Amino acid sequence: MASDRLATSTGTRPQDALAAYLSDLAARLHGPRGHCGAILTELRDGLEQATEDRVATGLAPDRAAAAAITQFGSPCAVADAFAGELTTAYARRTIAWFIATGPLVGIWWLLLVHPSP
Amino acid sequence: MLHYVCMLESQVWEAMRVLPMRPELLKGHLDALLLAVLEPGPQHGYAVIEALRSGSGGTLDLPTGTVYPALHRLERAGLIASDWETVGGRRRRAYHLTAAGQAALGEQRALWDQFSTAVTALLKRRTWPATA
Repeated sequence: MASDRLATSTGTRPQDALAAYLSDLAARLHGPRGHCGAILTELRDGLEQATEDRVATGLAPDRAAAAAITQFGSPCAVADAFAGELTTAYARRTIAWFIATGPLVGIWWLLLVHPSP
Repeated sequence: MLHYVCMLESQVWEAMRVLPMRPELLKGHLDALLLAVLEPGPQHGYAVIEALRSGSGGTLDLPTGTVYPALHRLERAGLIASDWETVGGRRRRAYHLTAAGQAALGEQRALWDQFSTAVTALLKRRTWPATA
């Protein structure tokens, strides 16, 4: 059984292959950290499900993981697809930050610049 | 005019021969398709994308990872909403249709019916004389 698996093995443990794919993708996602983290968690779940589905059809786990990764697309293509959404998320966060801190900065500015009576 | 229709027709046939379907053909319809997949009930992202693939008999075979952003865009637009849940020790994001999404789906269906009827009617006229 084990030797059968080895005969068709890609030589990489499935978890390692998925982790390598996700870390490659993580390096290419540029946006708010929490947002990127949520994307990676969601894609990890999808990849694991895709791998499990293939294992259930009789594929060796490493082959299943490799097929799941191929199905998901290159990290570059996936990061490109997310770029627009992440830019929007970043812009929204930046605007929210300015709205939240603007009055505070304004008050300090007035306190510092305002000539004392 | 006829020449134009024939040209259009040959382009459409050309596009249909090239499988999987070209992404630019799908782009305008992806949102409606995702909403339709979610209509029967909540599903997690991977299941939605798989339903898209299997429901189209493999014609809509986009790289899975590139479809997730479309789900996120629909959520930002308020047409779907998501909840995180833990299934078998894994964190999973499940999506469901909102009332606005349901309305948008109805609208998209009506538009598609109208559009596809018009295109079908035009493309069917293949018995026109070659010199018009």
